[in-house]
Amino acid sequence: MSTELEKYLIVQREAMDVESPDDQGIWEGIRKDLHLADARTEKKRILIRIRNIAAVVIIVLSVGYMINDLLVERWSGGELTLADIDRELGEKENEYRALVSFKLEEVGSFNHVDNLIIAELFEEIQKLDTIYEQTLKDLGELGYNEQVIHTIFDTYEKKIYLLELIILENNKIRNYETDENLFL
Amino acid sequence: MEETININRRVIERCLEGDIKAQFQLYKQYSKAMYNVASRFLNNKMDAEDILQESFVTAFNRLGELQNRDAFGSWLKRIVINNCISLQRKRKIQFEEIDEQRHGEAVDADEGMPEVDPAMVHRAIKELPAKGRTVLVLRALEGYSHKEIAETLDITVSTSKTQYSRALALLNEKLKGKVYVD
Repeated sequence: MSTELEKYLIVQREAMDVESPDDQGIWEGIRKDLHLADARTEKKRILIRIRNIAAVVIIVLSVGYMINDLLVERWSGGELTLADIDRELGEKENEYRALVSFKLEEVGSFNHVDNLIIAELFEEIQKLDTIYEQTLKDLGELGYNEQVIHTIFDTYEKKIYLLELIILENNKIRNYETDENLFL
Repeated sequence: MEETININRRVIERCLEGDIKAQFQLYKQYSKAMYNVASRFLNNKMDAEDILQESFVTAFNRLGELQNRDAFGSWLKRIVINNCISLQRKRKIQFEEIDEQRHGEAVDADEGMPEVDPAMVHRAIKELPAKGRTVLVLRALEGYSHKEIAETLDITVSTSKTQYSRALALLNEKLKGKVYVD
Protein backbone atom coordinates (compact mmCIF):
# COMPACT_ATOMS: atom_id res chain seq x y z
CA MET A 1 0.00 0.00 0.00
CA SER A 2 1.43 3.38 -0.93
CA THR A 3 2.08 5.97 1.73
CA GLU A 4 1.40 9.64 1.18
CA LEU A 5 5.15 10.19 0.81
CA GLU A 6 5.37 7.55 -1.93
CA LYS A 7 2.46 9.15 -3.74
CA TYR A 8 4.15 12.51 -3.42
CA LEU A 9 7.42 11.16 -4.83
CA ILE A 10 5.61 9.73 -7.85
CA VAL A 11 3.63 12.88 -8.54
CA GLN A 12 6.51 15.28 -7.94
CA ARG A 13 9.11 13.11 -9.67
CA GLU A 14 9.97 15.61 -12.41
CA ALA A 15 9.64 18.63 -10.15
CA MET A 16 12.48 17.19 -8.07
CA ASP A 17 14.95 17.57 -10.95
CA VAL A 18 16.15 20.85 -9.55
CA GLU A 19 19.89 20.67 -10.11
CA SER A 20 21.58 21.73 -13.30
CA PRO A 21 24.79 20.23 -14.57
CA ASP A 22 27.76 22.20 -15.92
CA ASP A 23 26.61 21.63 -19.50
CA GLN A 24 29.54 23.36 -21.14
CA GLY A 25 32.18 21.39 -19.23
CA ILE A 26 30.39 18.07 -19.57
CA TRP A 27 29.69 18.56 -23.27
CA GLU A 28 33.37 19.37 -23.84
CA GLY A 29 34.27 16.14 -22.07
CA ILE A 30 31.79 14.17 -24.18
CA ARG A 31 33.18 15.72 -27.37
CA LYS A 32 36.73 14.83 -26.37
CA ASP A 33 35.76 11.27 -25.45
CA LEU A 34 33.81 10.81 -28.68
CA HIS A 35 36.70 12.27 -30.66
CA LEU A 36 39.09 9.88 -28.90
CA ALA A 37 36.74 7.01 -29.62
CA ASP A 38 36.55 8.10 -33.27
CA ALA A 39 40.33 8.38 -33.41
CA ARG A 40 40.64 4.92 -31.89
CA THR A 41 38.10 3.56 -34.38
CA GLU A 42 39.95 5.27 -37.24
CA LYS A 43 43.27 3.92 -35.97
CA LYS A 44 41.73 0.46 -35.69
CA ARG A 45 40.30 0.82 -39.23
CA ILE A 46 43.71 1.86 -40.56
CA LEU A 47 45.38 -1.04 -38.77
CA ILE A 48 42.82 -3.45 -40.22
CA ARG A 49 43.40 -1.94 -43.69
CA ILE A 50 47.18 -2.28 -43.30
CA ARG A 51 46.73 -5.85 -42.11
CA ASN A 52 44.52 -6.64 -45.11
CA ILE A 53 47.01 -5.06 -47.52
CA ALA A 54 49.84 -6.99 -45.85
CA ALA A 55 47.81 -10.19 -46.18
CA VAL A 56 47.20 -9.52 -49.87
CA VAL A 57 50.91 -8.73 -50.42
CA ILE A 58 51.90 -11.93 -48.65
CA ILE A 59 49.43 -13.94 -50.74
CA VAL A 60 50.64 -12.31 -53.97
CA LEU A 61 54.28 -12.88 -53.03
CA SER A 62 53.56 -16.48 -52.02
CA VAL A 63 51.70 -17.20 -55.24
CA GLY A 64 54.45 -15.47 -57.24
CA TYR A 65 57.08 -17.45 -55.39
CA MET A 66 55.17 -20.68 -55.99
CA ILE A 67 54.76 -19.93 -59.69
CA ASN A 68 58.43 -18.98 -59.95
CA ASP A 69 59.39 -22.08 -58.02
CA LEU A 70 57.30 -24.27 -60.29
CA LEU A 71 58.79 -22.69 -63.41
CA VAL A 72 62.34 -22.99 -62.13
CA GLU A 73 61.67 -26.55 -61.08
CA ARG A 74 60.22 -27.23 -64.49
CA TRP A 75 63.22 -25.70 -66.19
CA SER A 76 65.75 -27.36 -63.93
CA GLY A 77 63.94 -30.64 -63.30
CA GLY A 78 64.22 -31.95 -66.89
CA GLU A 79 60.46 -31.61 -67.45
CA LEU A 80 60.92 -28.88 -70.03
CA THR A 81 59.99 -29.93 -73.53
CA LEU A 82 60.89 -28.35 -76.85
CA ALA A 83 57.27 -27.20 -77.14
CA ASP A 84 57.84 -24.99 -74.05
CA ILE A 85 60.65 -23.24 -75.90
CA ASP A 86 59.25 -22.97 -79.38
CA ARG A 87 56.01 -24.10 -80.99
CA GLU A 88 57.66 -25.24 -84.23
CA LEU A 89 60.32 -27.21 -82.38
CA GLY A 90 57.50 -28.81 -80.38
CA GLU A 91 55.63 -29.79 -83.53
CA LYS A 92 58.80 -31.25 -85.05
CA GLU A 93 59.46 -33.25 -81.87
CA ASN A 94 55.87 -34.52 -81.92
CA GLU A 95 56.35 -35.78 -85.49
CA TYR A 96 59.51 -37.63 -84.42
CA ARG A 97 57.72 -39.04 -81.38
CA ALA A 98 54.83 -40.28 -83.52
CA LEU A 99 57.23 -41.94 -85.91
CA VAL A 100 59.21 -43.60 -83.11
CA SER A 101 56.06 -44.83 -81.47
CA PHE A 102 54.75 -46.22 -84.79
CA LYS A 103 58.01 -48.10 -85.40
CA LEU A 104 58.17 -49.30 -81.77
CA GLU A 105 54.71 -50.82 -82.18
CA GLU A 106 55.89 -52.68 -85.24
CA VAL A 107 59.05 -53.85 -83.50
CA GLY A 108 57.09 -54.89 -80.41
CA SER A 109 55.32 -57.65 -82.36
CA PHE A 110 58.61 -59.35 -83.27
CA ASN A 111 59.73 -62.63 -81.70
CA HIS A 112 63.41 -62.37 -82.55
CA VAL A 113 64.80 -60.65 -79.48
CA ASP A 114 67.18 -63.59 -79.03
CA ASN A 115 68.78 -62.69 -82.35
CA LEU A 116 72.27 -61.33 -81.73
CA ILE A 117 72.09 -58.48 -84.22
CA ILE A 118 68.65 -57.38 -83.06
CA ALA A 119 69.78 -57.58 -79.40
CA GLU A 120 72.75 -55.33 -80.19
CA LEU A 121 70.48 -52.86 -81.97
CA PHE A 122 68.19 -52.77 -78.89
CA GLU A 123 71.21 -52.08 -76.71
CA GLU A 124 72.09 -49.16 -78.96
CA ILE A 125 68.55 -47.87 -78.65
CA GLN A 126 68.83 -48.06 -74.85
CA LYS A 127 72.05 -46.04 -75.03
CA LEU A 128 70.25 -43.47 -77.17
CA ASP A 129 67.43 -43.29 -74.61
CA THR A 130 69.96 -42.56 -71.89
CA ILE A 131 71.52 -39.83 -74.04
CA TYR A 132 68.04 -38.44 -74.75
CA GLU A 133 67.16 -38.25 -71.01
CA GLN A 134 70.43 -36.54 -70.24
CA THR A 135 69.87 -34.07 -73.06
CA LEU A 136 66.40 -33.26 -71.70
CA LYS A 137 67.99 -32.50 -68.31
CA ASP A 138 70.47 -30.23 -70.07
CA LEU A 139 67.55 -28.52 -71.78
CA GLY A 140 65.88 -27.96 -68.39
CA GLU A 141 69.05 -26.40 -66.98
CA LEU A 142 70.20 -24.42 -69.97
CA GLY A 143 66.92 -23.58 -71.67
CA TYR A 144 67.20 -22.76 -75.34
CA ASN A 145 70.50 -24.13 -76.61
CA GLU A 146 71.06 -25.06 -80.27
CA GLN A 147 73.53 -27.83 -79.52
CA VAL A 148 71.16 -29.45 -77.05
CA ILE A 149 68.25 -29.17 -79.50
CA HIS A 150 70.39 -30.66 -82.23
CA THR A 151 71.35 -33.59 -79.97
CA ILE A 152 67.66 -34.25 -79.18
CA PHE A 153 66.69 -34.46 -82.85
CA ASP A 154 69.83 -36.43 -83.57
CA THR A 155 68.85 -39.07 -80.99
CA TYR A 156 65.35 -39.27 -82.52
CA GLU A 157 66.81 -39.79 -86.00
CA LYS A 158 69.29 -42.41 -84.79
CA LYS A 159 66.58 -44.18 -82.86
CA ILE A 160 64.35 -44.27 -85.93
CA TYR A 161 67.27 -45.53 -87.99
CA LEU A 162 68.00 -48.28 -85.46
CA LEU A 163 64.34 -49.27 -85.33
CA GLU A 164 64.30 -49.51 -89.14
CA LEU A 165 67.39 -51.70 -89.00
CA ILE A 166 65.60 -53.97 -86.53
CA ILE A 167 62.61 -54.14 -88.86
CA LEU A 168 64.89 -54.97 -91.81
CA GLU A 169 66.73 -57.62 -89.84
CA ASN A 170 63.42 -59.10 -88.77
CA ASN A 171 62.22 -59.13 -92.36
CA LYS A 172 65.39 -60.88 -93.41
CA ILE A 173 64.85 -63.57 -90.79
CA ARG A 174 61.23 -64.00 -91.82
CA ASN A 175 62.19 -64.26 -95.50
CA TYR A 176 64.86 -66.79 -94.68
CA GLU A 177 62.37 -68.81 -92.65
CA THR A 178 59.87 -68.69 -95.58
CA ASP A 179 62.53 -69.82 -98.08
CA GLU A 180 63.49 -72.68 -95.81
CA ASN A 181 59.90 -73.79 -95.60
CA LEU A 182 59.65 -73.72 -99.36
CA PHE A 183 62.63 -76.06 -99.69
CA LEU A 184 61.31 -78.42 -97.06
CA MET B 1 3.39 13.91 -28.70
CA GLU B 2 3.59 12.07 -32.02
CA GLU B 3 5.52 15.02 -33.42
CA THR B 4 7.98 14.98 -30.50
CA ILE B 5 8.64 11.29 -31.07
CA ASN B 6 9.25 11.87 -34.78
CA ILE B 7 11.66 14.73 -34.03
CA ASN B 8 13.50 12.49 -31.57
CA ARG B 9 13.74 9.75 -34.17
CA ARG B 10 15.18 12.19 -36.70
CA VAL B 11 17.68 13.52 -34.15
CA ILE B 12 18.76 9.99 -33.30
CA GLU B 13 19.15 9.16 -37.00
CA ARG B 14 21.40 12.20 -37.38
CA CYS B 15 23.38 11.20 -34.29
CA LEU B 16 23.96 7.81 -35.90
CA GLU B 17 25.43 9.63 -38.88
CA GLY B 18 27.86 11.37 -36.51
CA ASP B 19 26.12 14.77 -36.56
CA ILE B 20 27.61 16.73 -33.62
CA LYS B 21 24.75 19.24 -33.55
CA ALA B 22 22.21 16.43 -33.22
CA GLN B 23 24.28 14.88 -30.44
CA PHE B 24 24.32 18.19 -28.60
CA GLN B 25 20.56 18.55 -29.13
CA LEU B 26 20.01 15.12 -27.59
CA TYR B 27 22.40 15.94 -24.76
CA LYS B 28 20.56 19.19 -23.93
CA GLN B 29 17.23 17.41 -24.00
CA TYR B 30 18.20 14.79 -21.43
CA SER B 31 21.17 16.18 -19.49
CA LYS B 32 19.27 17.83 -16.63
CA ALA B 33 17.01 14.86 -15.91
CA MET B 34 19.91 12.40 -16.10
CA TYR B 35 22.12 14.60 -13.97
CA ASN B 36 19.48 14.72 -11.24
CA VAL B 37 19.11 10.94 -11.36
CA ALA B 38 22.86 10.56 -10.93
CA SER B 39 22.98 13.23 -8.26
CA ARG B 40 20.33 11.53 -6.16
CA PHE B 41 22.20 8.23 -6.40
CA LEU B 42 25.66 9.58 -5.67
CA ASN B 43 25.11 12.78 -3.66
CA ASN B 44 28.27 14.22 -5.18
CA LYS B 45 28.36 16.87 -7.89
CA MET B 46 31.62 15.76 -9.49
CA ASP B 47 30.68 12.08 -9.47
CA ALA B 48 27.29 12.89 -10.95
CA GLU B 49 28.89 14.95 -13.72
CA ASP B 50 31.42 12.23 -14.45
CA ILE B 51 28.62 9.67 -14.68
CA LEU B 52 26.61 11.96 -16.94
CA GLN B 53 29.55 12.38 -19.31
CA GLU B 54 30.41 8.67 -19.30
CA SER B 55 26.77 7.70 -19.87
CA PHE B 56 26.30 10.00 -22.85
CA VAL B 57 29.56 8.80 -24.42
CA THR B 58 28.38 5.19 -23.95
CA ALA B 59 24.97 6.03 -25.38
CA PHE B 60 26.38 7.78 -28.47
CA ASN B 61 28.86 4.98 -29.10
CA ARG B 62 26.22 2.27 -28.73
CA LEU B 63 23.30 4.12 -30.31
CA GLY B 64 23.24 1.64 -33.19
CA GLU B 65 22.30 -1.12 -30.73
CA LEU B 66 19.12 0.70 -29.69
CA GLN B 67 16.26 -1.18 -31.35
CA ASN B 68 13.39 1.09 -30.34
CA ARG B 69 14.40 4.67 -31.15
CA ASP B 70 11.42 5.99 -29.18
CA ALA B 71 12.80 4.47 -26.00
CA PHE B 72 16.03 6.47 -26.02
CA GLY B 73 15.20 8.26 -22.73
CA SER B 74 14.57 5.12 -20.73
CA TRP B 75 17.55 3.41 -22.36
CA LEU B 76 19.80 6.31 -21.41
CA LYS B 77 18.45 6.32 -17.88
CA ARG B 78 19.27 2.62 -17.58
CA ILE B 79 22.83 3.41 -18.60
CA VAL B 80 23.04 6.23 -16.04
CA ILE B 81 21.62 4.06 -13.25
CA ASN B 82 23.91 1.13 -14.09
CA ASN B 83 26.92 3.44 -14.13
CA CYS B 84 25.89 4.91 -10.77
CA ILE B 85 25.55 1.46 -9.23
CA SER B 86 28.90 0.41 -10.71
CA LEU B 87 30.54 3.45 -9.16
CA GLN B 88 28.92 2.73 -5.81
CA ARG B 89 30.26 -0.81 -6.01
CA LYS B 90 33.73 0.55 -6.75
CA ARG B 91 33.33 2.78 -3.72
CA LYS B 92 32.72 -0.40 -1.72
CA ILE B 93 29.11 0.38 -0.90
CA GLN B 94 27.77 -3.07 -0.10
CA PHE B 95 24.08 -3.70 -0.41
CA GLU B 96 24.43 -6.46 2.17
CA GLU B 97 21.65 -8.56 3.55
CA ILE B 98 19.71 -7.17 6.48
CA ASP B 99 18.33 -9.21 9.33
CA GLU B 100 14.70 -9.58 8.42
CA GLN B 101 13.75 -9.09 12.08
CA ARG B 102 14.79 -5.48 11.68
CA HIS B 103 12.15 -5.01 9.05
CA GLY B 104 9.81 -3.97 11.87
CA GLU B 105 12.06 -1.07 12.77
CA ALA B 106 10.68 0.89 9.89
CA VAL B 107 8.93 3.99 11.05
CA ASP B 108 5.37 4.41 10.00
CA ALA B 109 5.69 6.94 7.23
CA ASP B 110 2.04 7.24 6.49
CA GLU B 111 1.25 10.35 8.43
CA GLY B 112 -0.17 12.41 5.60
CA MET B 113 1.88 14.51 3.21
CA PRO B 114 1.56 18.25 3.49
CA GLU B 115 2.84 20.43 0.68
CA VAL B 116 6.60 20.28 0.50
CA ASP B 117 9.05 21.95 -1.85
CA PRO B 118 10.28 19.25 -4.29
CA ALA B 119 13.78 20.73 -4.11
CA MET B 120 13.75 20.15 -0.39
CA VAL B 121 12.72 16.52 -0.88
CA HIS B 122 15.45 16.13 -3.48
CA ARG B 123 18.03 17.39 -0.98
CA ALA B 124 16.60 15.21 1.78
CA ILE B 125 16.86 12.13 -0.44
CA LYS B 126 20.51 12.90 -1.12
CA GLU B 127 21.18 13.05 2.63
CA LEU B 128 19.93 9.48 3.15
CA PRO B 129 22.47 6.69 3.73
CA ALA B 130 23.79 5.36 0.39
CA LYS B 131 22.27 1.88 0.51
CA GLY B 132 18.78 2.95 1.49
CA ARG B 133 18.94 5.93 -0.85
CA THR B 134 19.75 3.69 -3.82
CA VAL B 135 16.83 1.38 -3.11
CA LEU B 136 14.46 4.28 -2.48
CA VAL B 137 15.44 6.07 -5.69
CA LEU B 138 15.14 2.90 -7.75
CA ARG B 139 11.77 1.99 -6.26
CA ALA B 140 9.98 5.27 -5.63
CA LEU B 141 11.40 7.44 -8.41
CA GLU B 142 12.53 5.10 -11.15
CA GLY B 143 9.73 2.58 -10.87
CA TYR B 144 11.80 -0.56 -10.32
CA SER B 145 10.05 -3.50 -8.72
CA HIS B 146 11.66 -5.06 -5.63
CA LYS B 147 12.53 -8.07 -7.81
CA GLU B 148 14.36 -5.86 -10.29
CA ILE B 149 16.13 -4.01 -7.47
CA ALA B 150 17.18 -7.31 -5.94
CA GLU B 151 18.62 -8.47 -9.27
CA THR B 152 20.33 -5.15 -9.96
CA LEU B 153 21.94 -4.82 -6.54
CA ASP B 154 22.46 -8.55 -6.00
CA ILE B 155 20.40 -8.67 -2.83
CA THR B 156 17.24 -10.50 -1.86
CA VAL B 157 13.77 -9.12 -2.45
CA SER B 158 13.27 -9.09 1.30
CA THR B 159 16.37 -6.94 1.83
CA SER B 160 15.19 -4.58 -0.87
CA LYS B 161 11.84 -4.19 0.86
CA THR B 162 13.49 -3.64 4.21
CA GLN B 163 15.97 -1.08 2.90
CA TYR B 164 13.19 0.71 1.11
CA SER B 165 10.89 0.81 4.11
CA ARG B 166 13.65 2.18 6.32
CA ALA B 167 14.76 4.76 3.79
CA LEU B 168 11.22 5.92 3.30
CA ALA B 169 10.71 6.27 7.07
CA LEU B 170 14.02 8.13 7.39
CA LEU B 171 13.07 10.48 4.59
CA ASN B 172 9.77 11.15 6.29
CA GLU B 173 11.60 11.99 9.51
CA LYS B 174 13.93 14.35 7.68
CA LEU B 175 11.06 16.17 6.08
CA LYS B 176 9.31 16.76 9.40
CA GLY B 177 9.91 20.30 10.43
CA LYS B 178 11.03 21.28 6.92
CA VAL B 179 7.49 21.50 5.70
CA TYR B 180 6.25 24.71 4.35
CA VAL B 181 2.82 25.72 3.21
CA ASP B 182 2.13 27.92 0.25
